Formats: sequence, structure tokens, C-alpha cells
Amino acid sequence: MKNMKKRQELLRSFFYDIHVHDKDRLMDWLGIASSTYYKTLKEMANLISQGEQPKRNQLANFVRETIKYEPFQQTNNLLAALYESKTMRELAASRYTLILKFLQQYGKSSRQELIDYFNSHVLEENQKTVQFSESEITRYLGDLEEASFITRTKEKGAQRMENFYELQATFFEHFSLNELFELYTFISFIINTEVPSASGYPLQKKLLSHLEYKHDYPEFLLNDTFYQYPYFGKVLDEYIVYDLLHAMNNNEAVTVYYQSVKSNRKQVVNHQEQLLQINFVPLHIVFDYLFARWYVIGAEVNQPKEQPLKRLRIDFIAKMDTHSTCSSDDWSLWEAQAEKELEKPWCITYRETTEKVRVKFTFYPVDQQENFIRKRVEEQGQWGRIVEEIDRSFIWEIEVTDTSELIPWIRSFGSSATVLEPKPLQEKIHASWKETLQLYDHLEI
Amino acid sequence: MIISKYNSPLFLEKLHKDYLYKHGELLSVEAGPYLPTQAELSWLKSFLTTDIATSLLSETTSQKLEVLLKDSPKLEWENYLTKKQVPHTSIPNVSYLYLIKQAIRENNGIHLTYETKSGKILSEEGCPIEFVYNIAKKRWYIKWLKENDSVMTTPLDLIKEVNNMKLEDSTLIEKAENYRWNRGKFKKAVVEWRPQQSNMDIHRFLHAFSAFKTFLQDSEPIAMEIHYQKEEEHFLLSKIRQFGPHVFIQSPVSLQKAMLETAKRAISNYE
Repeated sequence: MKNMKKRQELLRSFFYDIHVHDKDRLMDWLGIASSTYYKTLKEMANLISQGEQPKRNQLANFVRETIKYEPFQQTNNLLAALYESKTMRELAASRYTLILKFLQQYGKSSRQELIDYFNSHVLEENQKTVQFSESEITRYLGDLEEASFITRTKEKGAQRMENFYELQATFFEHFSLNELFELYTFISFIINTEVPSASGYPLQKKLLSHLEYKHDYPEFLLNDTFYQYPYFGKVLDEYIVYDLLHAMNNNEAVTVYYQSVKSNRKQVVNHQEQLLQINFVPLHIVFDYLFARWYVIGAEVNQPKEQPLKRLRIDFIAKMDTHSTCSSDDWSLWEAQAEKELEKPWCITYRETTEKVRVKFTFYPVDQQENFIRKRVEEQGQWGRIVEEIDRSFIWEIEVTDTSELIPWIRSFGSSATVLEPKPLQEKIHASWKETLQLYDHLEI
Repeated sequence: MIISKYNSPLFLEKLHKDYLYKHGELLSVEAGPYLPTQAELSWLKSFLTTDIATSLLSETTSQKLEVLLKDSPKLEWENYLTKKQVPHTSIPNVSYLYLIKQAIRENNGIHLTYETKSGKILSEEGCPIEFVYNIAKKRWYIKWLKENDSVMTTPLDLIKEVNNMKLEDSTLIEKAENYRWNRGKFKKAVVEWRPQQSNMDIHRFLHAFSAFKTFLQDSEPIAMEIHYQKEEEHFLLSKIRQFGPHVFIQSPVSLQKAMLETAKRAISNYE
């Protein structure tokens, strides 16, 4: 996970341009050494591009230019490459894989033919032909057959009856070409618009390879949709989300190494001794769409029952280990508390009491524009409801635990939203517009 | 063919037979394009019961997926994940989606009958360029080129009928293709991050504009150059507004003016 964290934070910095023009500042921000910086950059360059790798002094530029979001041109979220890093090295080493690849490339083959394929390929590492024994290959074939990756048939070969091997019909082969197009649209739509999405990226990649290899359908012919405002960065924290979901499914407590949110430096990838160590029962995950921020809510192990649950920002989790299993009684109690504490926050903050917020929204139509203000409020307003309508205006009400969490959303409506109550929220929004006015009022515009 | 350097025989010999079974999941990743992992299939299965599946998958494809994924465990996240401030996904009737996609793939034209904003019904011919799915508005659009070279953007839910047709004028196809690579002029804005407390998280600012092409300037205070198209101005302004006085528009003047007017009107609402 530590390596994943380094890659994740480095990718985040390069995607968002954080100190990327100043290596020393970036290393300081992330808390990593120069050797780690170059090593991680090289790993990332390997993952996001199959082509020739840049030299050491060009690595940073290469990564920056490759992963930078380019609207209207870029359809691949290269940040999702993060999820390939975990397994590629281990996997590439598998000899079983080679058999599967040979069978993909050459189709149904006899054992002898497979032996010949093995012996006619050069290993890059030591630049010499490696001989594999027949018994080894027979053993690998047996394993693959037992695991249902391949099937064996006895057929007449060149001189005698021989064992022939071929790949089992795989997932995508069950679909017609048109059905594969549908599947591609479906997967693309989900990874661009929904969370969790990380598992969808490699799946989409495999489907594309299948279409290209089996149906001779190049990827560019399928790029017929531009997803506007996809916010690629949301995928970066998902690998911790999956680990947390796994812990939740198994009622497990975890030890979380956590960077304090108050700190103004990222520094989450190093200095374990400076991190908070929290033994924690994760209970629920919250994704805040507006800022693409993930939170986990849970109980500290041995936390008194009357205390509110703890909220952690997932991007500040540097490392996580399994701690212990939580008893089902404790789990049920905590789970009920989490449900209660999540009922009324607009986003994440819990307080014992709620406050009513009343906002007047007004629509100022241009031409024959549809009422997009109402549409937005209905779509994004969670459990709030419209209680009154007057001409082009309507009053919307909601009960929330922390009214300040609504501020960015209300501000985004500009003068179309006027807070009627509570008074302190009204004053905050009013003051915030006065401050905004001061920013521009003195300019000669 | 050169095999990956990780296929060293010495390394391979360390692999025990059990590896295949314990890590069957991992093996399938490297086995090429044909074997999705169990995690990927579980992920896919967890979206099969959503409205997205109902809208985008035909009955035959859905049924096949159901059968093939019967034994895959569903990724259990629904009970443990709450999405806050996520606009509800509403997918209109997309029955014409695949028909137009086919026209794009096969370099065909389309005969389109659609309703305009004012409620007029028009019937016209042209060449489809691409779909745009606006995630903020949750709406599908088809961009298409009319014979008079004007680029049209029609919401998919306003389309009444589509027929694919052979295009006699192949230059229209070329023009449509060119459009995808030449989007016309982008405008530039520069916005400045003005946090009122030193520990205000800059990631909110960085994230808010990350769906545009941006360049973070190495300056103090931190400023960001944002490239946008004219029709994106309203969306960009709504993103700036959510930060109130914490984000200042350095340029252009047109956005500064818009923000000034908004602030004046918003203040008058309270006085």
C-alpha cells in the first residue's frame, strides 16, 4: 500500500499541477526523497505508456503531459492506471500466462506445438533462448485445464493421436458484435459518471482489446462519445475504498495511519512516526460529489458508545492494516449509530440537533430556456423539498445538522438563491457576497 | 516476439502450482484481453440492477450478462456507500442512441426529426459527429453537421425519429471528422485562490476546475489559467461562485463583470 500511496499522490500532484515545476517543493510537499521521486515517476511512466520510456530528466515532463486532462480530445482516464500497478509485475512473471497468450495468438495447438512456441521465443532479460522441459509444459497445461482456462481434446495429429489445447470461450466471446458495442457504451457510461469506477477501467480495456483482436475493430471507431466534465481525479482514492469495503463486508477493524487534516502539508507518503495511528471499525463510506472527496465513518476500537463516530478523509489515509474482527453485536450497534448520524448531514458533519434551512430560488429565464434552477434543486437537493411556489420563484426547505455545509452549493446559484432562514446562515451568505463585491467593485470594468 | 523481462525462468520456477488457484484472479489479468477478473465481473454485476442498465442494455444483452454473472459475487457497496450531492441520474429514452452510433461507425448520414426549444418539429438531414453526455446536466446530446455546414447540438430526448442513410456528399463526412479535431477557439480565464485561513484545502479549488484544461501558475497567490468554450461560461461561473470571495477572477473582464453583477443582485436580495 505504501508504494500505491506514493504513486497515488504523485499522480494527484501531476494531474492537478501541484508544485510539478519545482521538484524540491514537490518532494517536500509529499515527504519523499529524490530516489523515491524518480523511481515512482518511472513506474508511473511504465504504467501509462507502452511506448519507449523517457530518460530520467524527461520523466516529469512526460508524466505531466500524458496525464493532464485534455477536454474534447481525451477519453481515457490515465489515472486509472494506478490500479494496474498492484499486479502487473507479479503477473507478467507467470508462465501460465505465456501458454494462454500462445493459445490466443495461434489458436488450437498440440502440446508439441506449444513446446516449439516456448522454445522459439527469446527472453529479453538474458538475451538467450531458454529451453523448457516437456514435463514442465505438460504440468502447466494440466494446471490450466484443471482451472478451466483451457480445454483438451485428443485428435489425430501429424503422425499419431495427440492432445490438442485451446482456450475456453471467454466472457466477451458470448456476445455478438452489436452486444459488445452495447456493453462498451454501458461500461464507459458508468466509469465516467458513477462511483466506484476503478474496476471498470481495466474491464473496458479488455473489451477494447477483444474488439480489436477478435473483431478487427480499432478503438478509435468506438470513440463516439465525449463525456463533458468527467472529473477524472475522483478515481484516485478508490483503491482504499475497496479495501475499506472489504473490511466492512467482513466486520473487520483496521489500523489506519492517518495524516491530520489540520496539517497544511500533504506529507502522507512517509514519516510513519508522524502519523496518527487509529484502531478503527469502518462502518460507512461517504462520497462528496461536489469536491470528489471520500470519507469513512467508523468507531474507534473501545470508543464509548455515547460518543459520536469518527470521520476520516480517505485521501489522508497513508496506510491501513487489518486489526481484528468486530463482534457482530458491536457491529450492529455501531452500524445503527452510523445510519442515524448520516441521516441529516448535508455532507458529513454530525450534530445532535438539526436546523431548518429555507431558501428562495428564483429563475430568470433567457429566451425560451427551461427552468434549470428548479431542475438543479430537484436533482441535487437531497431530501429537501419545495414547499411554496410564487411566479418564477419557489421556497425550498431542508433540515440539516450543519448548515455551513450548504454554503458552496447555495453560493453556486448566485443571485438566484436567497437564504431566508436560519439567520446566521443568511448573514454568512450575505457577508460572503459583500466580500465578493469588494473584490470587483474598485476595478474599472 | 519478445517476452517480458519478468518471464525469467528463475523467477518462474519460484512459482508454486498453487499460485494458479490462489491467484487465479491475478493470472487472468495478464492473460490478455479475454479474461475479466472476478473483481471486474463483480463490479459489472453490481450495476446490472441500476436504471443505467435498463436504459443502455437491450433485453438480450442483459439476459446474457445475468446468466454469465450468475456465479460472480456482487460487489457489496450499496449498503456501505452514500453519495452526497450527486445529481440523480436520469437517462431519457435512448432508443436512438445506438442507431446514431451505428451511423457514426459506418460513416453514414442521418435523417433526423426533432423538436426545437420553441416546440417546432423539424425534419433535416446531416452527418452525425459525436455524442456529448453532459455529466453536470445529465443529458445526452448529438452533435451533427447540416448540409449547409452548420454544427447542430440536439438533445437526444428531443429527437422524434432517426433514419440512417447513405451520404452522397463525402465531404460532409470529412468536415464532421475535422470538427472533432478542431474545436474552434477556446477562451482563457485566470482565477486566483484566496483562502482566508492558511489551512483551507487547495484540493477543492484544484478539483473544481479539473474538468477544464487548466494550468496552475507558479505564483503567489496561486493562480490558475482555465481554457473554456463560450457555451461553457455559465458552468464555469457557477464553479467560481461556489467559492465566494475565496476565488478571484483576474481575467477576462467579461467574467469579472458577470461576477460583479451577480454579487450586486445577490446583495440586493438581502436588503
